[in-house]
Amino acid sequence: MSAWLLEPFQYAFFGRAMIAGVLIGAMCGALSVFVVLRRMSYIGHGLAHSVVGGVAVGVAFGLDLYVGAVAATVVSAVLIDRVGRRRGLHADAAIGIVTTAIFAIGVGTLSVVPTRINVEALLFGNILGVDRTDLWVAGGVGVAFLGLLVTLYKRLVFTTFDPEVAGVHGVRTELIELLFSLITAAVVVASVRVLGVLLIAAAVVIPAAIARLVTRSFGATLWLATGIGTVSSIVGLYGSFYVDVPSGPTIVLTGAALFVVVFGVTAVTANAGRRRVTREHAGDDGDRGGRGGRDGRGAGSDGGPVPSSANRTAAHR
Amino acid sequence: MSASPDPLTPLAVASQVAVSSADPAHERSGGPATAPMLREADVAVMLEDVAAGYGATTVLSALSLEVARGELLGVVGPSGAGKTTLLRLLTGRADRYHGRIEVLGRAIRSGRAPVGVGYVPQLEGIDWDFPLTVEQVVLLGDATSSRAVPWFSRRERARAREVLDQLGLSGLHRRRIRELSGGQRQRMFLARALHRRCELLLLDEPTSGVDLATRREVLAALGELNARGLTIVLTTHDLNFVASHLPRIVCMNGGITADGDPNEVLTPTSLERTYGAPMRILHDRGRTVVVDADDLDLSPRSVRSIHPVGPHAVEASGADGELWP
Repeated sequence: MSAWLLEPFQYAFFGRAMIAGVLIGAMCGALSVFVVLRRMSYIGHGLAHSVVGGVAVGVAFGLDLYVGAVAATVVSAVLIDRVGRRRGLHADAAIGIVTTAIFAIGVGTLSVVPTRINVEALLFGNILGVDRTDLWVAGGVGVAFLGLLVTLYKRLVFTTFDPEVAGVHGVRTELIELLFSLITAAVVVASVRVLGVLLIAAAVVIPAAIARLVTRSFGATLWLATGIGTVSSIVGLYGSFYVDVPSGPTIVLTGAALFVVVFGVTAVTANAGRRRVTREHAGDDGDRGGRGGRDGRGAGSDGGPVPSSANRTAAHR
Repeated sequence: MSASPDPLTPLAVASQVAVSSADPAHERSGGPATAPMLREADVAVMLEDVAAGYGATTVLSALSLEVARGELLGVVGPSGAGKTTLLRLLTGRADRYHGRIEVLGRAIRSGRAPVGVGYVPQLEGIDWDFPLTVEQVVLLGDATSSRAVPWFSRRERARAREVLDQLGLSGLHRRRIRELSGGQRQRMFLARALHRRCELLLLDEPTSGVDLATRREVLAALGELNARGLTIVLTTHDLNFVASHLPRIVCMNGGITADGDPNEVLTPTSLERTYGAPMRILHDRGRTVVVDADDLDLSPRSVRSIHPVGPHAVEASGADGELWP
């Protein structure tokens, strides 16, 4: 077993991919909590699409892959923030307009200007391609994200829960939302190499979706989602190595499989609980039937009518 | 919160405080405001000839209003009358085109959060599945004064629990917010506002979508807070709620149409001017009750064709109230 786990590390690229994957998994997991609670699940999808536009235009001008990606996602994040503030428009409309337009620019550029972009790696991720620059980018974004999360945690949570009141209570919600959009853009850019453009959206949704099924507090949701993101990345990278498929799909499928398991277990547990309560009430009715007489009244001290089992079961639901 | 035989009693105490500092009822006919002259230190809210709205849409115009410290004011009016815009103005979240606004002695500027103001939003807009406990929600109320770390200090937690105790939510601090009843949710938001040590409390439709028991619960909490000196301004659609329990109301429809003691302000004329629909006033055992005018097609015959007339219907039609005027 240990040989199976250690074997991939004989290759330098796998070590780099694992470091990047752990960082990205943790960041996407933590980010997913805010993304899901803000009901902005398409933000990752949209920003990742704008990466295609930025990379294509940047490479066409002979720039580094990251320059175009950063420029496109920052522009997208700011525009989404601005457009989404207009009355009558919401974040989903802003995401749809801005990121699709930038994606279209990228597709147009790729079809007109010949480039040497590995489109498959860009779309689905490729652990073979993780180099030192990617590690520095992931590390830098990780430090910035952690700093933001630690210092602005309370304001972020307040703005996510109740932005209207947060503003009245002195939180600079516009600044918080802009910073959140920018850090989301940064996480997306850092994730492209490992996850690929098309699969980032899932990575910034699935961990929080799983965590919300089993946790009660915000802190626990955040920790668990971060852990789930990290574990999905680790398992997915091994899968990518041994099955020889791009890393993006294996990471996302790991998360999705975990979601199916947790969803199923929580559904079964909830059903069992419901059946137990129903049985208890049925038992109560049986007892009461023995004591209560023909008029269906229970043996309560006030002599009042006892609601039927069906009614009380409905009330419990 | 201390137990009280009648949960509405505190409001009666509050009304004595407020009426003493408020002007006698005065109806306005679109002219300049005749608000009472209060000493500057006694004023919690002051709006002077304010015009406001959103973008190019003017919602309020020529609005002048003074609210004394310690007062409990209800703002009524039809949908779109500008009630929520008034609250947004007081919290710096609406576009002001003209006029001057001061809250607790400080000028309000657009986009700037006011100092010393607590805000309780409508319950409908909240995601009740959000993974927060009651205590966490209350603690967030003072997030800007808290240290820039992801946790709250023991002292902050103790203060939050103290506020929860004051509002009758002892022992519920660990409960998830979705497990609370409607009245408990309102009181939790009151606690969040109080945790900020606010002097002025603004509430947007606190009685909207709640049952009678919850309404009484919320009223009792507000009455007690007001009796302790907190200034409260709330908006509502519930005319009978303000008529029965609040010492002063302001009727709005793009501006102020009437202002004063509900018993004197709530007249068919002022209500028609505010709502654009005829209404009647009943006085029943010292309480003012607003009812629809008789010109709707709800005759006993048409009503009977939908629902058979039962003992309750007979009782309602035979209410021993005096039709006014």
